[in-house]
Amino acid sequence: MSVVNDFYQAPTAKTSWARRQRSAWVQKLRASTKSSAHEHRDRLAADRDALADAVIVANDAVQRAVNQIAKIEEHVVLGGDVRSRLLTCLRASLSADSVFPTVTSDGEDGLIAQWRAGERFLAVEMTSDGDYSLMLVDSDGVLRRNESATGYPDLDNLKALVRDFTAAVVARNPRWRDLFE
Amino acid sequence: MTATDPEWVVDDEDVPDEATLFRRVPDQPDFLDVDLNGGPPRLGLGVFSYKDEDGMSVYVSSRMKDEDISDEELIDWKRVYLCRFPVATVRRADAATPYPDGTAPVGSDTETAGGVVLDVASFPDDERVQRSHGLVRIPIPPKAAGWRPMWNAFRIKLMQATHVKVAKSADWIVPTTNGDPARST
Repeated sequence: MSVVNDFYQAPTAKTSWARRQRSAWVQKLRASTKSSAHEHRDRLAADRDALADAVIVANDAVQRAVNQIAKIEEHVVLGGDVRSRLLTCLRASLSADSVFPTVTSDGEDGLIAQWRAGERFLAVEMTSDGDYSLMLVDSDGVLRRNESATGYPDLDNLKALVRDFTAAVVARNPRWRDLFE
Repeated sequence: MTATDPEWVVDDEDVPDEATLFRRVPDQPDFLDVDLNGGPPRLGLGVFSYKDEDGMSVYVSSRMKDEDISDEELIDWKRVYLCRFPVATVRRADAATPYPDGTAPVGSDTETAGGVVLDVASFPDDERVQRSHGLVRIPIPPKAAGWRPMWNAFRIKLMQATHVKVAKSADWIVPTTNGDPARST
């Protein structure tokens, strides 16, 4: 019988001994490699990043935005951290079935993600001074939201706006993905 | 410069309401966006930039007529598009449309009336083109306190009204509203 089987099949009376042994081994291992906890955390972080990348690849809308930003950077030197700030907004608000935003420069060194369906329009802009703007126009062309401040818009609210926008597009043009082929 | 600075002139009454303003738009990725409903493309917000503490650069058709130049002489068609919108649209203050419950929509109190002033440019080499140059302005100068929400409301109004041309020989792409003619005409 193997040690492992001994460990798991031991009668109740021996379990506490097994646990003590295991605990001793863990302590000994940690003591022998002081950096192991850090390495473990680093490895976990690397795994998390790899997983995040995998999720991004699975999310067409975010991946398309990443590609668009790369193209923009061939024309424009983006300011500050606008790229990462806009992607934070998009990762938080786009799901796999979300309609694709069009990402452009803002004419200077910032970025805009915008969705348009007829007159209906939603845009998030990140500028290099650390501000954002959020604009929402309804299907009659009337401006319904117009906010500008420092930092980020309410990301849960943005997610709801993108969800509503997607529902409106799917109802009107269920084959919207054909526009991007 | 501040919003109350007397040097900040927003509008020149000598430019007639009937005049058209032309703006050169650099050929950047996806400035011409996608209508998810399958309608014609339209210029996005990014082309309407308010900067350099001056305003938004345009060419004024009434001056172009005086100088005897056509819109096609304004630009290098390989690197830029041309877009156009009426002076009347720039000056128009959109009325707020209340929600059915009678409340005013958020942002509806933002001023959208702007103006245009003539401003001789230092480029390109053709002096006739330089003299046709103007600047679109709103009551708050770029970067002054409170400019951004006002510019956002203003540039959305322009975006809805703007016609765009992407090649010398191409027709103007005119925005439509649910199949109706462009808002600007």
